[in-house]
Amino acid sequence: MNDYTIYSLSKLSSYSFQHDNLTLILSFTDEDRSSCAIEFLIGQKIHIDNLIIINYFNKSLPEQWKNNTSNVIMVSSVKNAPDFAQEMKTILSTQTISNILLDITCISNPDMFILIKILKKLNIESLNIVYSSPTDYFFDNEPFTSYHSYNGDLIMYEILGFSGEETTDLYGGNELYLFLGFESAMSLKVIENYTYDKLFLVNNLPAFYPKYKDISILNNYTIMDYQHTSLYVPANNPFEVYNSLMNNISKNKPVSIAPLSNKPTSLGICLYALDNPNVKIVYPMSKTLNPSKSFGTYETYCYSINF
Amino acid sequence: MSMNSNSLKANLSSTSNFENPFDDINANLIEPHRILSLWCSPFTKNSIITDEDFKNEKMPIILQGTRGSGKTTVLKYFSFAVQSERAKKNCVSLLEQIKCEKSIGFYFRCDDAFINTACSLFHNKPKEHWLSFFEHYFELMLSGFIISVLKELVRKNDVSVDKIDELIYNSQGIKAMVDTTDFSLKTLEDIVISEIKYINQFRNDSIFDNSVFKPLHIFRLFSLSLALIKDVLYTIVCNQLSFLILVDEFENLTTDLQQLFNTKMKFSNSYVSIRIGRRSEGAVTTATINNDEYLRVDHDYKLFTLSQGSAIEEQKEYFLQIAKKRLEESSSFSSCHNLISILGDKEDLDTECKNLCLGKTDHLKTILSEKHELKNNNALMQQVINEIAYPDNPIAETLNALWVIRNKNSTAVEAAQKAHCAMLDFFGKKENSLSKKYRNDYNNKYRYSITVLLASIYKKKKLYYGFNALVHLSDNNARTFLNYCKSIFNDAFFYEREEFLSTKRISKESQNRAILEFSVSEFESICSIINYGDKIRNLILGIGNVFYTKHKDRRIRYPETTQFSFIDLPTFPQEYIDIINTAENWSLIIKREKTQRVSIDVSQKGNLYRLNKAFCPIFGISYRTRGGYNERFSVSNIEQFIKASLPSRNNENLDTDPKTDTLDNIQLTLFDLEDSSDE
Repeated sequence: MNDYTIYSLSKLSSYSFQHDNLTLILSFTDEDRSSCAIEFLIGQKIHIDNLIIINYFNKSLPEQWKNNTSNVIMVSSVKNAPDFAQEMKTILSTQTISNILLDITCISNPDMFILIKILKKLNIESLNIVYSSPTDYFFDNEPFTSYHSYNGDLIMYEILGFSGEETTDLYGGNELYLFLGFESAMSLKVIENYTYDKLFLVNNLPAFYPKYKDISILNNYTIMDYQHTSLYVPANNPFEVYNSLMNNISKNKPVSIAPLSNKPTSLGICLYALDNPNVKIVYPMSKTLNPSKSFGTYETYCYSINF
Repeated sequence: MSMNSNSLKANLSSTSNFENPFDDINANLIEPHRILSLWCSPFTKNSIITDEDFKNEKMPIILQGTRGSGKTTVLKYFSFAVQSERAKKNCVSLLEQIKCEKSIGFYFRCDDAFINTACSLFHNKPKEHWLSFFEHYFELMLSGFIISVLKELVRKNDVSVDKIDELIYNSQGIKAMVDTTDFSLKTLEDIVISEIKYINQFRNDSIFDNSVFKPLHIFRLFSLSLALIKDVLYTIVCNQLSFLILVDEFENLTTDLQQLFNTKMKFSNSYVSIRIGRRSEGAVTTATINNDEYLRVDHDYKLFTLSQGSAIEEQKEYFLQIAKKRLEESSSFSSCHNLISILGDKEDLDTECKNLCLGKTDHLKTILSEKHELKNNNALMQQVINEIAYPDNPIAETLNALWVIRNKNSTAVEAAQKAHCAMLDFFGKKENSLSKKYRNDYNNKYRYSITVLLASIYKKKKLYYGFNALVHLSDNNARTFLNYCKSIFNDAFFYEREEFLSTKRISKESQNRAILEFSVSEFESICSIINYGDKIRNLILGIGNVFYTKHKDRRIRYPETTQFSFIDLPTFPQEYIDIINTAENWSLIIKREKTQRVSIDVSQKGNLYRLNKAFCPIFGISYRTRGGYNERFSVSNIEQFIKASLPSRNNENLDTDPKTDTLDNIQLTLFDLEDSSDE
């Protein structure tokens, strides 16, 4: 008999929330979608016990949020991964938390990985995650290649807590799974800095909008020229990303993954990496994030995770 | 009919099997057997280092070179993985191969993602903790490597495990290092693996578990490994064994770690020989952990620069050999291993100019219009054109026009007659002072400039093609050369497949298209991954545009101006200096090795720079480096470039065409030119 997990994925409007002791973790930015989930909860008169805000851009919170919340905690260590991990760990271990809702919409990719690992380490059995996709991203100058999620220079990191396993194998190869995003600089940075013997380029199909798949290809055209195997995963389903990785990744080989695609896809990668410590997650980071990358909210999805 | 079918079948077959011989380029990704089969040594008979030195010289060697210059290939070639392939190729046992070469190489790539993240785990701790962690980690990887080599020798029956166990048992060095009573290869392997596992666990979990770094054993660099080399490998192989530590991408190490390695190099022991591959001097330190001691070249290490110094003929020979190896391995090119016969050798500027002018005299009119007395006098202009015209040789007639507009002592017609006379004497091989001057102008000084100018006048592009141009554009960089070849072969396969596969020749149009495409993509790729990428992109575009404008000068006052200097660089704001240094470290701009007179009109000496030649096609400028007039950029010029603001129109030094201010605009201009040419 095969091992299997039945996953839960639904739209926000049809999701039934547990109301007791709700802790909501989110990042509040200039993007409309960053507040979509909390405003839905407030609209539904669901009281939030602990509101933990990862405030990358020092934005002041709307009064209405404070009125619906017992305890607001602002996370200040957002410039440095070890400090962020320490602060989140301290916050989460000092609160009585049982019912966590994590809004990953505008939390940076590396921070999302760190946060989920912290939550897993706190022996939380299950976790509810929401993600709001935008109406569209900002393409300032022309339609397809002007999207920027960051400003400044990129530096390569292994995401804290996801360093994989070093070996001294004389002939060990290394597989790199590069999940394509909208920024060629990020994927070029990974390719430039990383050694692999097999490259897998992963795009979203179906994407949130069909054009997003093509925008990824357009922005990664140079890399498509490298010898690679193409894979496709659905954009809105982290569980299928997990399954796809499970089916494709070679066993007993060092594996690295660069999660440059959207957040639900990164969530699937994160869940896979948590179960497979040989997986290294590599990510090019910059010191400054772009506060406004998209507008509107298209859809909000809820995912239930059992650790 | 049947012959036609057969021929079609053959074509389809060869088409479907076509593999670009230049497809795999990045040495990081090439498998050991392929590194061996494609190996061309960059150490020539004139080099200060030979292959033999690299293997057996005790003094550390630093390989310095630009990105893609071949550092990784060299380091990997001398690594154990490729040595194993050499054993297979030579049909000898691994042990025999090691004994024969008297060396074993441990290849270690300084992975910046690993270093950045591991270092961040120690960011609130004293730096000694981080250094100690890295030393321990490096030592484990090194010892683990030696243990794996020993296991491999056992697996291949080259040596018995009992013998190795006995040597380990008798080693006082090993006994002093590890906390065990059972001294065997297996025990050592278990200890190393368990320590590496501990490191993995620490890296993955310490921040979440608040654990501090406390391994069971903590090894200093060259502790256990040295004992294994001295007491085990020496006995099994020979005591002249040269154990190479091949450290690649040294510039990725933090300054503290670079100092650690520098110290090991300065006070090197006789059991290991360190080889470093590093990008450039600017990105690394020569300091040791003793703050007052620095590494000195030729005293503490030998320095070999892969991307500098070799003459163009040597580069040609080297690149031709690299291409030959790849063509030999390709089934599609088994009958044609010579890249020159596929691409052609030198550019045919005469034919190019004829194709630009197509018998018209617009270029003569344009140039002659620079002379006031001709500009508004059509009859006189026509008279002069009649004197100097030589439609079969547009370069010569253009040179005649230049002689006319430069002449100040006689009338235009007299000057035209003089130029015509000099031309006839030159072609008729008559020796006199004028024909000598004409020969120099025609053969050396203006030939290339005139071609670029004619292309500009007729709104077409100067083409880049032929092996000679390819070697120049590659700027002594093997990866750039291979990328150009890959791009050209792909283009030819796409646009002129049948012709290409049957004749094994590639048209100059296809070559030019591919070269331009690669130049633009390489420029964009580098700018998108480096620090200050956007600002450096603007800087290079600004500089390139100035040269482009100079190349369009109808009087050709600055033939092939491609060099520049900075006015008072040390007084520039630190950010600009950092930007310039980064551009230099990534070889976007190249500084000449020695200081020299900054320009013909300035007597002062200083550093001269030029753009990487790979970017010349973007701007349509010459890939040659000529002396004479060089551009000089002040801090305000650099500021204008970096901020992508338009240079002042009244600044004589920067007579840049505002339309070509960004790469997009340059590309637009190029497209405009193409459109015009179709008209």
